[in-house]
Amino acid sequence: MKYLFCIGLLFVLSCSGLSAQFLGGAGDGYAMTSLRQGNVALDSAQDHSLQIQLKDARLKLVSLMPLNEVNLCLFDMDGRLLRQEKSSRAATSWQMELPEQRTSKLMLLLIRSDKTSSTYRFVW
Amino acid sequence: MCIRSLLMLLAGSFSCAIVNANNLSLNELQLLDASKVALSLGWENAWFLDPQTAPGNHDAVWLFAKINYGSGFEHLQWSLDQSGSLQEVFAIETSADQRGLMIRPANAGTYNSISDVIHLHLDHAVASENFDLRLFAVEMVYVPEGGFLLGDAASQGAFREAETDHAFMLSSEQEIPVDSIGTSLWSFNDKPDSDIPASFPKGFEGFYCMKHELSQQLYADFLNCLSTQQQDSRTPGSPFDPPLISAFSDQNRNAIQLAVSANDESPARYACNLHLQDDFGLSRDGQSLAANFLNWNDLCAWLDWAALRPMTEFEYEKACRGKEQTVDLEFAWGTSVADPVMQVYDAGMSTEYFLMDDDDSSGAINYQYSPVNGPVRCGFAATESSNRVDSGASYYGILELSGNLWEQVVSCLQGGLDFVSNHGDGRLSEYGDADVESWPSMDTGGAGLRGGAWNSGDFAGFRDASVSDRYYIGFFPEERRNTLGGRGVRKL
Repeated sequence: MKYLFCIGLLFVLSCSGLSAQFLGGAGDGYAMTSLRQGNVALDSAQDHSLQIQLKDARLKLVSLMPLNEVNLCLFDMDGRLLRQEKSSRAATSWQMELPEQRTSKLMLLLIRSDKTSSTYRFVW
Repeated sequence: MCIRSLLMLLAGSFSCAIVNANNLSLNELQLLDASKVALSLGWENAWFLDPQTAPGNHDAVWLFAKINYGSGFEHLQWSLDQSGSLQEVFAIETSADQRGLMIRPANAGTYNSISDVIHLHLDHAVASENFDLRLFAVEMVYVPEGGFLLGDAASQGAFREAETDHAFMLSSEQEIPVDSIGTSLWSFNDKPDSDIPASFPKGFEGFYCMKHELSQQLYADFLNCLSTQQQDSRTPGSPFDPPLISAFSDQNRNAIQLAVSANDESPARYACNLHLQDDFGLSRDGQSLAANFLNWNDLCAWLDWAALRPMTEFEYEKACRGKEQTVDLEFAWGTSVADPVMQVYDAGMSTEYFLMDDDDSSGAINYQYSPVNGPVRCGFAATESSNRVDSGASYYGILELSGNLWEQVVSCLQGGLDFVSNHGDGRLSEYGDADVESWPSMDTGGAGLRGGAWNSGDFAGFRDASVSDRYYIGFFPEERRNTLGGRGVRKL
């Protein structure tokens, strides 16, 4: 199925007696998403300390602060792992070769040593 | 790390977006063709009530988009014809000015969690193969058409009917006479400078109001779509300052910092860093805190950029009280008793919360010289089992209309009465200012404060956070104070 992750989920509260207009949970009623295509510098709402540039068949990452032993994993949108690298201690920049095929939708998964992660999606 | 575990983590990052993350989520944005985008919208606690079921309203998502082809972000317009939600879960309507989309549940009901893929049509095709497209979603609440009572005749400067000295019944958008006699509108302090024109938005007609105050991540994302010159206007600091410098202040829980300094070629980038550590955007970095230190120009610039508009002080009272009778010195949740925040847990996280007392009539509020010493998370008191009072919600389900940060509103004083319901067009001036006709400015006056903030309190008969209190309505919010934030409204 083309939209694997977008299956509609719908749970009606009508039996609970609660009023949805006064309920809440995590978050602040705001969301943002982005799509970058072509030779445009990337960034992320999740991690603004990281600059990501897409140029000359390379993905270049420059961090303001050293991010020790970060796992960088590049996937296609079918979930196939294309590249995997682990940054060295105190590294502040990396370069990663991109596939020759330029029409792919790719996703970079960055996993920090504290197990937090960020994802970046882009078209190559 | 083996490939299997990486894939499990990858899959988790997708599925968790719906289950555990923000109450709004946008995922899997794709450009299907040059003028059609697809994405998945996830939404918690949505509702679409039958008009006969109080409060007879619905909530909605205001979705707007910006695109950058390399020379700065432009506001995108949407086609008037939207094919909409694939499984017919959502109803999608393009605003009359095509600046955004209002999305609501397609079918009557209340929903714990709702999601679907939506296909959206742009008014013009994307003009280049190189672009940076950003979509922004803001939760709104519909305030339906109808009359309401204005002023509790007890709070400082409250509106009243001259003859009876009771609340004034606002029953149309027609001109309202202002006088000290008869059935005219009146106030003993800061009375309207003249009759209220028919063109002044009074709240009788239906309108959408942001459910929450503007959050710090939302303001940072706004800054990240501006030019260097515009960023310079919209922050007290300089975009050329070094990274890790606060954009506004490192006091009173303002978390917005410079992440990347501007240079001759690129504007600065901003991010949240409440805990002042070396990395930005971590889970405790205050992204969901209400954005403080915003003056009137900052708020109006954001509203213009987001194609919204400021609300009037009449609309503020309607959004709070709805169809209910007045209660002397009432807060937004309809009683005159408050349960102020003393301590927050999960500080700075998207789950930041506080523990309430057991009093059924005390509403949650960040108020009374709060020891938190700044704003708390937007929607901090709403839980999976809260009612109106517990969550501090208004009649219609709008949060933090009393306390946390002041609501900056258009007043019915000089400069405000010329205001008409013009929405922002998504574009700012070269210098980053709002440029919408009739909006009050520092030159004209006509804006003031309602609803109180975290360091307001009850003192010698003053109650800043009461719905009808107008003590600071004549106080033009020119300075960037640690208690000033805001929200926007619009009509479709």
